[in-house]
Amino acid sequence: MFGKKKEWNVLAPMSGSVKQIEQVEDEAFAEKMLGDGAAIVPQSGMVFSPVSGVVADITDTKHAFCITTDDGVDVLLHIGINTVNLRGEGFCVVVKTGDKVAAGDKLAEVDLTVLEKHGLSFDTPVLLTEPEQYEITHVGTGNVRGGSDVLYTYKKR
Amino acid sequence: MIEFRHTVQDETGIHARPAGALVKMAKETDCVCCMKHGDKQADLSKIFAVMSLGVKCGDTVTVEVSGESEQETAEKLKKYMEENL
Repeated sequence: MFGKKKEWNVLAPMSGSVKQIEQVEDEAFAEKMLGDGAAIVPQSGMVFSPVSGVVADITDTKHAFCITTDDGVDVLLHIGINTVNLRGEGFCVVVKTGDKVAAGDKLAEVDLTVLEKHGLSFDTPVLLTEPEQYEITHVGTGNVRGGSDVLYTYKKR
Repeated sequence: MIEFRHTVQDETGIHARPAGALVKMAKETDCVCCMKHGDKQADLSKIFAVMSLGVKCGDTVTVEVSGESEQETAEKLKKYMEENL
């Protein structure tokens, strides 16, 4: 489990700009009701795994991914806001529940023009769902590259 | 233990936002809260577990609450579900 390493990285799942979780255009996320972390405002539709682990669940509507890291940390990736209403339109997922993924592996591709057409926010939060156990130590800023740049780091409390 | 059933009316089912609200309530209480859907069950304080139940519109779930404030907690969860799901 947790060896000597003190901090872990969560990669940006998409290329775009970093947004603090408190600024996300949805109060459930901004108030950290679903967990703590940060968001990306994507500029392109390729989605990469932010961590190495196992895909624990993908919603039927393809817009949310639950990934449990190799260390047992639960990470929730939610692409766009209110995208549940698209019922999968614009989302092409290339992994399935139970798949093992490495940080940076492609998970899906999203047609952002579909979100735009429906007037939905692109804000894409990446959350640690058990903030009682893990603390965010550093959040990136500015523009980041999906699947390679660090979105934030965390440590065990 | 208090148990109640609820049939989900929201056409998108139990998605991230309502799941988050339920998890927050479950974490705030001293009770053990569990949601059952078919043969699957989830600890209501774990967002992954709740989302993995895959509850859709028209599905009936059973919520079990046990602990000191079970009456109050069950009523709070039931009220939220009736108003939002």
